[in-house]
Amino acid sequence: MNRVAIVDYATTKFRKLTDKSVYELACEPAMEILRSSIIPANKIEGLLFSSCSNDLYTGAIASEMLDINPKITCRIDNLCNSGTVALSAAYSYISSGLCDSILVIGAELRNSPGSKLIWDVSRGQFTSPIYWASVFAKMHMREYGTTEEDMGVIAVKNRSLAKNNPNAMFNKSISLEEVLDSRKLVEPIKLLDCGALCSGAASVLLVSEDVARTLDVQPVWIDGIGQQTNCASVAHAIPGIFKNGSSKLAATHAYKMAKLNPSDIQVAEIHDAFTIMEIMAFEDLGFAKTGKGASYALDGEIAVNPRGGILGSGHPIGATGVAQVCEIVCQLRHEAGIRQVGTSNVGLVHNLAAAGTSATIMILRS
Amino acid sequence: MRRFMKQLKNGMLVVSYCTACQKKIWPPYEHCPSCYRRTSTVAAGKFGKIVEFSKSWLEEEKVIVALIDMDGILMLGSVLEGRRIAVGEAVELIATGATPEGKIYFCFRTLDRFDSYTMNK
Repeated sequence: MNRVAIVDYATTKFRKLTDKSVYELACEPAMEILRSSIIPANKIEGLLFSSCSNDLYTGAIASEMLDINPKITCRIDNLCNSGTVALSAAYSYISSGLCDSILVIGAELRNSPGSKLIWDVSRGQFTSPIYWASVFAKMHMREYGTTEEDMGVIAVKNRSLAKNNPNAMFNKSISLEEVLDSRKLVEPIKLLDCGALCSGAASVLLVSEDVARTLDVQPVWIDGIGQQTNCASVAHAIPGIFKNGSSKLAATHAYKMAKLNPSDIQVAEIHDAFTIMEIMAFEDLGFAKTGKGASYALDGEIAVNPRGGILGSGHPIGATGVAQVCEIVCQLRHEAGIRQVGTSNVGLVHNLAAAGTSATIMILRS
Repeated sequence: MRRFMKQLKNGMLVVSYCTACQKKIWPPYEHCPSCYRRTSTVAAGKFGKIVEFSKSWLEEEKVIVALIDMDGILMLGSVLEGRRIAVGEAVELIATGATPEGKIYFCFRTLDRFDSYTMNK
């Protein structure tokens, strides 16, 4: 199996409004990568497009717009988990030898249909993700004593980190009081406990080891991937969510593949569409023991969500996973400027979809 | 799913049922995910219990939202305010259906002692 390296990355400014189409938005970070000419467009062998938009044939259209004639192109939709699923597909194409280089693009407009899963009738009238998130939060509070303050701390941390990310949607710190006093939405979730849907795009260039050796850039290697789909509905997701959820199983696969333990991770991007999700992820990823996620936010050793996570950066659904990978590559190449956290060389990306029914973990190393 | 929606529009909650596996299938589909035989439908019953609940302040859904367990069938539904609402409390499905826009709903109420007694009978 060929090793796979990430050799370039780019992210647009995440914003509420754009007059661009999803195709045009997707080209923004892709053109930034292609302009730097690490590999000319006509040598790129694959293009994978991650999005939940209704627009069709996105892979072929983006390829035409960027003057790429890929051997392999397709669009990947896996709701919030789309970007990281596209990355693992790109890894598989390259490691199998079908392609030597793939451009992955994630792009989404704010009004994407990807925030709701209409198929899931077990959600009843409560189709928005905030309802299952509120159930998770209430269950975590009841079972482990997690408090609204514990969740608020996550929002304060990630908003503060986003200040140093010029592409983040939010660039102002908030206080714990502001989080706790923000508009009540669905108990115990308040406005500032939620990530905001937005428009944005991100792109990553992956190549085989043979190609990476010929390039004059620092490669970041994909050493581990774990992907797990447990189910699709809230009805099936909730039993056992704290014990054997998809994140926990995916993390086990990824650590095994990378031959690493949670304690080896130095920096991580974690899916935090709601504050409770980051607390649950600390436990699923083995950073904290089950039920102890809340205290990890205060005294954890691993730098988590240096770009500000979803809470600080915004959530362009199909682009989020790609943007998370961009950040970890940036951190592992020590190119993050004022938001650089130490001299990390091992990082992790965690992303999930639809009430944690599926999840992807990637372990990267420079 | 077609049969489920048809019944739901008549105010009836049904789930898929595999006679071979003797298993209810929820969310409902036309085949059994274990043996792939065609499913029939059965009434979901009227009673369940609250697994978790929370209060929604959102303008469009200003209700108590609860995760309800109806004998292994889990769903998010609304629970009428006024009686004791707590984890483990028994509830009765009092209304279900779909709006003309296609929004489906499950509405429950909590039971008092007398109701639970009747239910157990």
